[in-house]
Amino acid sequence: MLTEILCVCAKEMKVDMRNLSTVGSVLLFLIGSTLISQKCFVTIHGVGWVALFWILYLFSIINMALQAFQSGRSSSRLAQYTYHDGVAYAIGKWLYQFGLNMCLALVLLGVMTVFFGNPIDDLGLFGLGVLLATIGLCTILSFVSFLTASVENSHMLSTVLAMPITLPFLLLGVKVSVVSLGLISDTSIGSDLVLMLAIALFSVGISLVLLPTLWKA
Amino acid sequence: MIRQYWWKILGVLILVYVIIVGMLVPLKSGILSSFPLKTEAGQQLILEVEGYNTHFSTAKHITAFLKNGKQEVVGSSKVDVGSETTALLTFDMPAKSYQPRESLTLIMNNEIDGSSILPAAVVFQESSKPITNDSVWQTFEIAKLYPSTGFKFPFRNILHETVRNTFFHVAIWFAMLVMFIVGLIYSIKYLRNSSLHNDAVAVSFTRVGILFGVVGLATGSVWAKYTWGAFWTSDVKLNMSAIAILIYLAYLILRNSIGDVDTRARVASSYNIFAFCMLIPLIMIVPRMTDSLHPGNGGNPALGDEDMDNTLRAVFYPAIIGLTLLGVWMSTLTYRIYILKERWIEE
Repeated sequence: MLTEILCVCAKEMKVDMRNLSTVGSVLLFLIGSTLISQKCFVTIHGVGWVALFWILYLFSIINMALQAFQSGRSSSRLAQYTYHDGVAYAIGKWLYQFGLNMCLALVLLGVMTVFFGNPIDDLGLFGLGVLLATIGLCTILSFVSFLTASVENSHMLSTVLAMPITLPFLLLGVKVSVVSLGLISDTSIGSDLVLMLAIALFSVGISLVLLPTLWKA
Repeated sequence: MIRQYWWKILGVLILVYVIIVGMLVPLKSGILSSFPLKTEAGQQLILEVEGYNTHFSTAKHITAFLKNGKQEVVGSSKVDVGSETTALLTFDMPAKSYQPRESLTLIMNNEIDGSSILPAAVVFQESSKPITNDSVWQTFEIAKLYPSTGFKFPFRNILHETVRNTFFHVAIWFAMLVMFIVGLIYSIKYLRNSSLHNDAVAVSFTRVGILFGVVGLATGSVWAKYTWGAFWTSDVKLNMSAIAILIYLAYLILRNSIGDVDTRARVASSYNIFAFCMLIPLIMIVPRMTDSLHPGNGGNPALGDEDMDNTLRAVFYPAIIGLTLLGVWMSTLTYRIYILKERWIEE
């Protein structure tokens, strides 16, 4: 199982490395929009910084996740079905997505630091918030895009489906990062983090239970 | 049983009972407000009181007490009745205060209305002025409280008459949960045996559940306007329930955007299970873990003895049953329309 997961992971990376357009386009989007924001705002502080970070991050994650399950043709899907166990395949893809998204977050943080400076007081808390939000967002978006992979016009549909489910993670993520910037102080931020972890694990669990039934189709 | 009609009649009868009794039974008497807000130790206090549903003029034995945190009381020395709902109470405040500042609870009592309470009516402060009386704090037992008689809903501060919304707002959320649970069960059934009939049942119940959810949000919003002062606040419970309803609306969009019947049923069933599993943490768990204005969350009580009493329960529980029966009825109708439409499309 573990080797299979790693195998899927490695295969995904190879596919992406061979065809850099997905990662490239998202990177271009990140850097481009940060640059445009810098030209517009010249400088931003506090809440504006957090807002920009989360908007850019959300959009790049959505792009990434939607590409992940929709790149293959139906014939290649059948091939993958015969090769891999559904759960292992999904976990492998998810792990790769998760890693990729965390790299994206780092890149985004770097780019924003270059253009706008770094207002974060508590980098650990900020990182933890982004990490937990990424687990949740990644799971939900992967699940939704997997769900709609066989439907026409699935990009639109996945976005519509995913939007309400991602909101709790975004709300909590924004709260955690605002606290980590020192804009508001909150003594009970620990319980927010636990909450985020709980919902994230919960969504991972549900997805794992439901995926095999979808995979058969 | 589902084909018979006695439960439909039962549901309607229960709802008629809920609406008539829930709207017509009067509230117990209560104290709306009192003035002034402050008093000092050893001084005389003349308190202007406004009551609600009270019978000050008609009642013969009106007594009033101010109670401190140690369960000790001081009785009023004089009660001047203005009308059925207004009165002037004169208190000789004791010279002794246990704390520099303390909130006192006002208790009023007469033989017609029973006793009514206004928490934190006046702030009791230490004083340097000369003492004008020899009154002392007495034990609570001296306040002989009359029991309240008759079938009346409790008077709750801030809520007042809107306490009746319990029968509609709270009950409809319960009914919504029942609809969603039935939808969930049939979605699971569909994934197990791929019978389109199960999917049709699931979508019918979920649709009615969404309708109930929207009505629940609307009634809650009106309630919030009267108790919190705004139709919508950024309270965690409100946000999370709005998100939950959005997730379910997305379920309907998902169904409409897939043409193939089998794909639609499978994908929608999976999403329905997912949606229900997100619903429970969103509206039941998350709001309980953070601060919230909403009763039942963030340390606020709900449905406990402080909020509910047996008169409210006598209407509230039937309301849940009645709305659930109504929802089941609506769902069976939706199911039949859905089946007819699907047949139409196939031909």
